[in-house]
Amino acid sequence: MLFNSWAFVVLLLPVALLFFLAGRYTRSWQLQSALLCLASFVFYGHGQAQLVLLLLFSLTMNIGFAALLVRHTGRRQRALVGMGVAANLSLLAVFKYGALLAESFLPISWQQALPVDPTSIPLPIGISFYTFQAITLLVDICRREDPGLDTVRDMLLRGQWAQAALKIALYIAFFPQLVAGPIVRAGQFLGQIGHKVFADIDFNRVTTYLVTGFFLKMVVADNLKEVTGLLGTVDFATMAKLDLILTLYAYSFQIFADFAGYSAIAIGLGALFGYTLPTNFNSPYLAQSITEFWRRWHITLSAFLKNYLYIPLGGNRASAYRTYLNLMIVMALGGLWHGAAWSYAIWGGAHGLLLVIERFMRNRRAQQPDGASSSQSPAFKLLNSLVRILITFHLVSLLWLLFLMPDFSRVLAYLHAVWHQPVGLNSLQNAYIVCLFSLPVVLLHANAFLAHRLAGSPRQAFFLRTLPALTLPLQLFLILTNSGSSGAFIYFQF
Amino acid sequence: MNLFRSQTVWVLAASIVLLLLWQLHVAARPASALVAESNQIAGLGKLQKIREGTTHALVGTSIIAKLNAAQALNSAPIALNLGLDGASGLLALEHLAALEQPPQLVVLEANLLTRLAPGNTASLRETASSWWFRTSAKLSALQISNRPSTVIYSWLKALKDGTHSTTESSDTVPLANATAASRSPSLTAQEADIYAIWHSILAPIRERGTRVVLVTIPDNGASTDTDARLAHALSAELTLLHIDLRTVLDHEDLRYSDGTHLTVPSAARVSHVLHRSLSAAGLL
Repeated sequence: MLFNSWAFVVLLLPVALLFFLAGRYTRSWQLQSALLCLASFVFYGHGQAQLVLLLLFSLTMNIGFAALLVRHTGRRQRALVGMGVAANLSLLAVFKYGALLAESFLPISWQQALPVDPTSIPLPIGISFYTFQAITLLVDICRREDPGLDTVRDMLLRGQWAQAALKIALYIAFFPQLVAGPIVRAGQFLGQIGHKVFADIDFNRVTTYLVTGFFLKMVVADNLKEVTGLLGTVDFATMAKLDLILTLYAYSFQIFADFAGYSAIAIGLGALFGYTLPTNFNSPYLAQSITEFWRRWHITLSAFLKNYLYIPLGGNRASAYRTYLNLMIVMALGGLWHGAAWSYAIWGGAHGLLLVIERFMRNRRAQQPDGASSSQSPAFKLLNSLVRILITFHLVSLLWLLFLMPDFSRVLAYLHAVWHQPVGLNSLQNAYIVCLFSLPVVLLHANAFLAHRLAGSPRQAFFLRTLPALTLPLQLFLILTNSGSSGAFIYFQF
Repeated sequence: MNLFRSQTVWVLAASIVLLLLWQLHVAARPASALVAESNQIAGLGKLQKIREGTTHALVGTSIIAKLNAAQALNSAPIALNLGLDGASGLLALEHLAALEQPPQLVVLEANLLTRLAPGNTASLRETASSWWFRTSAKLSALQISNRPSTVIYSWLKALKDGTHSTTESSDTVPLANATAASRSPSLTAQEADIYAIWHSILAPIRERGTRVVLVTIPDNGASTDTDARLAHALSAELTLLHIDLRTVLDHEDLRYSDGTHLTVPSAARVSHVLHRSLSAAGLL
């Protein structure tokens, strides 16, 4: 079910009404949570009811593991959490990677002998996201570092199965973030579950995130896809150099607007029901390095990979070369998480390689005496920052080609065309679309850049809060009058 | 909660004000042919203009889309050019067939009858059946042809292209005869399948009283023999008049912007010829 669909409006309005009426007249967090769970199942199962069975299976499995984990300690607990994580990853492997694994590693005769054709298994929407959330639940229960989990832990120990199951079900299935994140850590969400009242809802936050999210998705991303839709099929030899470059920029801005828009809508919807979901994007195209890019892009995925994969592998505590290896493994797997094709792993690996190079350079610089950077003029530092931003943006954009075109030969054809095609612009229509609908993303980043540079100044608040708020009516006006053709969110396919 | 201090209320109020101002602007704009920044938007804008009371329509692909409906169907109460870039004429016919009050005349491009579902057709069909498409058609400020980005694009395009004088003396405008084929040609199995699709949508339209005329427009050789045979078959079986403008215009110095589609001045010329031909046939 798309957020920008009539079906979603029909679902949301009565759910919100009943939610707040329940809060006012019964003061029962259980009733409110049950209502949200039911709405989440309806949301998830719309159009594909059988997906709800898989979600229910995942919930039941993880609630069972959680109940077992709180009752054990030491090696037994570690074994159980290992089994729980393996069980979740197995679900992912079967439903998402079954076809890829079978085609890559099994002889054809073995593939034909399988009881089920792996290519016929449908990819359940959102499975990558709720599987990762389930993993944070099981691992964090064992780690006992997050006080947000204490209540659920106590409920499970005291045998309050229904209440504990309800909380866990709401955490994993909460519809705003069910199919495309943000990936919320268990303690972050579970600690917020409680009785919610209308008067406590921060409607300014709700409005800001919902309007901005729908604007980025419906106006920016859905209009830019008029141009980027060509990349999959067009003969690049018919496009001039500027057409090719503009189309690449368009995709960079489209994927940001699509995903950041979805995350903003999810945060706004969460806020509507009194839940604070974490920020997922922080002006990623202002990054001055790939390292910084991954602290600004899909922040919750980066945090998950760091906490549950990179650090358990050893992180940067071991030797430099082991750190580089850990980075490559994490990024390759992180790339593969995005899609069941080796090109995604290559995309992730390419990012990993750049991270390794940056870390290597940083380690070398750390060994050298410091002196040069402190004597640079502010103007030089500003210019240096802008150049680094542009370089990082172009590196990321080029790597998006691997993301967009799983067929590597098309990536090579594109690069060949960029190199050999004549300088020029064949399509003024496409140039107009790219320039116009990229502008909001550019302005968003420019505003964030100015706000950062004014840190500590009274004028910072203008760029951080006032200016964005002033643009909200224009954004809402453009949502109504200038939306593109509706399409699924790009990250739904993950 | 103090409503007057609420950002939500101010955002909603301000956006309503912007919408009203835009509605005033749109109402004051002179009517003009839709020039959109993408084929998708142009197609949706045209489909959205189909409403009860549409009397005359040019239907087809990007080839007939270049013609000027006001010139070609001059004196028609409500004349629309429903030529869709990158899509089939079938889509516009489906929308016209759904009207309670059928149009009086449909001029169907016969150049590319073989192309049933080119690139944009599926996405146009899906979007044109959405609830927002139907809802936004009712308020001019929300219509696709009045999108702010489309209005700005039209203005920039008009600045770039300038205006073209298109009035011509009727004495200098040639006339192409409208004739109905007497016998249907033999079709291959594949051609028969395509023919059946066109027949299935054109026959009910005719039965409801709409006159359908086939027209073949100069396209610098893009049309194939198969397209011609299909036009011939439809003309014979459904007794449709067929106007082949190439018979009177092929010797003229028409210009094509990309080898297939007429330039603005050439399209104006062809529009005048079509109008004279339709008038001579008693269709206007």
